[in-house]
Amino acid sequence: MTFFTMKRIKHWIIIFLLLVFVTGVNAIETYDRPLIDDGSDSPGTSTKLAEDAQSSQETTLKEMLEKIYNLFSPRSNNLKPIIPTRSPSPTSTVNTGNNQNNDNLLPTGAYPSITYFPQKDSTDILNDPGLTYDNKLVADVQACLQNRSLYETAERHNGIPWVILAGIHNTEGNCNLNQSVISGRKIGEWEPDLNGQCSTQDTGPGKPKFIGYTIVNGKTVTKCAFDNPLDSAIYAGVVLKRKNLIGDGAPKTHEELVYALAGYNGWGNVNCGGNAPKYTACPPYFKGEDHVAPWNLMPDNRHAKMYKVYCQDGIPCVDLGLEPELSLNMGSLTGARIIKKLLQ
Amino acid sequence: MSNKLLYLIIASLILLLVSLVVFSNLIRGYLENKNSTSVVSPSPVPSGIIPTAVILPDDLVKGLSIHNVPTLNPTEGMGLDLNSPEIKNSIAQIEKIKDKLPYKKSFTSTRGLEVDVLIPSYDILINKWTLNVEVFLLDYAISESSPEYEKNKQAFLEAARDVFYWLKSNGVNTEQIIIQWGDREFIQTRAEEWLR
Repeated sequence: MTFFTMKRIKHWIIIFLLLVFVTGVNAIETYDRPLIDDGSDSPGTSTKLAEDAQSSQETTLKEMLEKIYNLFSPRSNNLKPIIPTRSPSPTSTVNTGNNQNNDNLLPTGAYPSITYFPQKDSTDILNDPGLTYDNKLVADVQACLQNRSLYETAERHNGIPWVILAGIHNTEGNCNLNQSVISGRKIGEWEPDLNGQCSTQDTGPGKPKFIGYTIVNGKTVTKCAFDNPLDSAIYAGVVLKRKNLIGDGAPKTHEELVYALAGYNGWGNVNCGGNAPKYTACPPYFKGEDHVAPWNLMPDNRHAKMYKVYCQDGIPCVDLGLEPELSLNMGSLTGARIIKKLLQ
Repeated sequence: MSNKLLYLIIASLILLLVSLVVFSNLIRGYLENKNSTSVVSPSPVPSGIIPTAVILPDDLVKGLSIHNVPTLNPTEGMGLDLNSPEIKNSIAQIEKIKDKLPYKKSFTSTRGLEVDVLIPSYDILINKWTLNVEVFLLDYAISESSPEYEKNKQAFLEAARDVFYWLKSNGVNTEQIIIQWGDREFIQTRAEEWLR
């Protein structure tokens, strides 16, 4: 009976508690371990087997942990682990087409809903809440109004409302007819963005023209350009349509338009997420709502002052230890809203 | 049994109960966190391919660059040779998926970046021999010295992998299809650099 003396019972209890603790810690650590690539060049059977084994182990362990948890949880019959859901934001139209992979658009976790910034008139994708624009901004878009017939012709080709094309041209090239709508480069000069996609065998409205060859990193590259602003406006509208992830083609809602305009410029220029520490209207209400290219100089309480994220090509200001500079370039949505207001 | 032993046993049982409750809460917290972590969307994955590896398998990364397409002999014209086999093959590959476009996918990368992928409808592709693939929300101008560089690169590669799997699963020969990543030069250049 000396086996059960008080002193030994104390030892057994301590050992038992230690065992419970060690087992728990070990179970959690094992469950959390990520899959590890086996490092082989060609993923093959061994990796697949290891992966299957790990998957099976994780499933079993997960079930075990859930059972243990359910034993001690007072609401064990009702409580299920939280499984994240992703839903389209309320005002967007999702065109699923024939594609069955379109059911998980727009994760909403990081963004509040567009319902915080609603589109009051379903036909007004510019969604101007009735802002007043200062005279300097109004004066800056006068050139765009003079080009109206050009943008309207482009609209007939690509379906993008002409005021939006004008807004883009204003941002890219101050609505100067010597500068392309697509990027603001001089008409007739090489547009590297066109990626060498031109040929004398492929002509028509909105098609870039061949202007020569050049050598880049030892490779021959075809140089393309626009020889008139109308072709660049038609092309720019089609590019904008390709950026509309929320809808399909020409934007039909304000949210679609903002997303497409942000994508048109490139997503590196959003102001939230640490890119522009002095920009305070974070988080964005929806994707692109913090992007300088559509919104800058908008006279509301969120977009009047926005920042250039990049001080040099490929180098964000914060990487240089510099404060991002205030952008003085009018946003494309801002320009489009002013032009539309001038027409009323 | 002495009173001392009785107290000890009771105290031990209380300790055991407290330990179990703490342990139970730890498990609950862990399970909730585990289940609320987004993962790369499940696209069709060919067997034998590691779903979590960032490196793209060699046999998938063969999308042609437009710079591989022959140019016309000056006596015939200038620019891309649209009668070249590269162009004709790419047109044939895109034809296989034209009715399945647009292709869209949103996911959170394994390192926490949100990513949107879009292959636009057939009628707004830049032309009938080039497949535009847009990977949104990433910073392609980011410098290599930035702490966020690897995150962006990895997220792009995960998106590219998803696109290649989708193309493969639809019978596309990815060695023959011409892909253009984005519409800005800096995006095209950085994307092709990351894919190399």
